[in-house]
Amino acid sequence: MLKLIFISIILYSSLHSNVSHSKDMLIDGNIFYTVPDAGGTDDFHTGKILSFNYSYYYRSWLAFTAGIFFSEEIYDEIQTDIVGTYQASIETRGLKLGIRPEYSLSKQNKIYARLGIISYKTKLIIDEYFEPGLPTGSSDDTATGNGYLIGFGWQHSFTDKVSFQLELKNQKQLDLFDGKTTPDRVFDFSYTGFSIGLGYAF
Amino acid sequence: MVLTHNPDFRLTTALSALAVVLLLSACDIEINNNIPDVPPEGRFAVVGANQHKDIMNVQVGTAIFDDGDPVNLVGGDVVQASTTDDSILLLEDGFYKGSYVASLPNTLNFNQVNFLMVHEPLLARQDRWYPVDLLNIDPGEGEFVGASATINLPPEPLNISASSSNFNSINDSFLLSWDPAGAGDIMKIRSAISCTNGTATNKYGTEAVIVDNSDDGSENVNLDQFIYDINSENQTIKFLLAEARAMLQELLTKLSNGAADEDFFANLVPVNPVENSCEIRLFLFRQRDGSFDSTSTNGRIFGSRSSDITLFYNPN
Repeated sequence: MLKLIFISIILYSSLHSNVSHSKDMLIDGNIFYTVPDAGGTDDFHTGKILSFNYSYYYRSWLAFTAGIFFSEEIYDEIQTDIVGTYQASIETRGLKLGIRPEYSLSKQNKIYARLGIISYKTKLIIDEYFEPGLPTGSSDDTATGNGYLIGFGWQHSFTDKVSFQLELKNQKQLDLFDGKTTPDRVFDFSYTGFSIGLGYAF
Repeated sequence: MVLTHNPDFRLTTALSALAVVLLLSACDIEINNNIPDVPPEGRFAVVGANQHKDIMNVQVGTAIFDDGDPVNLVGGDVVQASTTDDSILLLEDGFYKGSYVASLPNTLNFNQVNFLMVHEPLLARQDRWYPVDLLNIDPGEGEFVGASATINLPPEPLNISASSSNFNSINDSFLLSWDPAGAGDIMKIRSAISCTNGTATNKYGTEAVIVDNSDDGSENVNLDQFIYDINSENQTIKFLLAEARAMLQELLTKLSNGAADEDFFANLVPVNPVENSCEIRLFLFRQRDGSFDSTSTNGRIFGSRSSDITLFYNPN
């Protein structure tokens, strides 16, 4: 639903824009260093999520953005309980749509925010070890759903076209495994961290 | 771990195994692999249960040993303790390595507590953060599943009193009295003691050596069972050991809603009890042996109910 509303806003704005933005576009690639948090006893290591965005400037200070993201396999801390020793890991990827308001500090520097919605596909993998003599095991399942992201960043232009950006952000994936597991087992994944990237304006 | 599939042995062991311990939440006191008196060969189980006065839970604990080493339950095998109305899985690590404990609700004060080794791969993982029902790796039942044991808790010691509650010499003695139950149970006197010199505190636990442990309603107890001189070579005091220490530690934690020092019995601080003010929390246990449902099970199984009074020692 969130996604539908957002797409509608973008389409409406685009159709009613009488400004040509053929030279006001930006593509950027970022590496997002983050520690996923499932809100429970999980203790994930830092992982990397790669993302690519396309931004279309509707106004000089406002762009609509679309992008993709995908992660490496990010590992949880090894944990032991009465059942066995286990380690979780996740791989996530998805699409994002949003807006990017900006404020110029100088000719070369600007700050910006990033707000948007995401559509995710996240794979959760569990590897478990019991004790010598018992087979180890692995199990995985995939969740799909929606979420949102929010970020604040600084962009520094090296040239008219090439820029560097540093961004603090949080991406939240909502209701993982909703409909597949019991309601009390449904959880959200929060990815908080910073990203660095390069942009190319044209 | 090499397991046999002899059903009788399994019962025994399992049950036995169940046992151990109850109560022992993890502490930083020395933790050996073994509870004392665990035989170095063969399977051995320890099962215990205690309900303290005015506490609506039974503290239950179990442990299993194989050739003297603790056996970890894995793969979803877990001990279930139950009364007629309630049941609980022993999912917490106990004081000793390989022991498991839980607090079984018993608001209706049932006497019988049953122990059963079950295979519950999902419930045993209930504290994990991810959806264990979707990501369940089940190695199957272990050999102990199905083993069982039964404990019948004796009556709580009622009307405990001491002939005096304030003492100034370790040569003092007092008469401890209670209402006998007449059921042939044995009585245990244990204590949690805290001595302070104003700046430092010495905490330790003792088990009183009593002449007659029968449930006859009275026992003459010397204060040197609780207070000692660290400079004396002739100690009569017997520090709490094994499952008794673990049980009392757990009980203290329970009585203080989790606030009790974990190292209550660590004997760390050099405050000489005989020269300082001490508070003696005396616990009287009425204890009764339980039974493993398989006669081939080797181990210890007991149930108890307890009550306490507080005594004071001040040499000045």
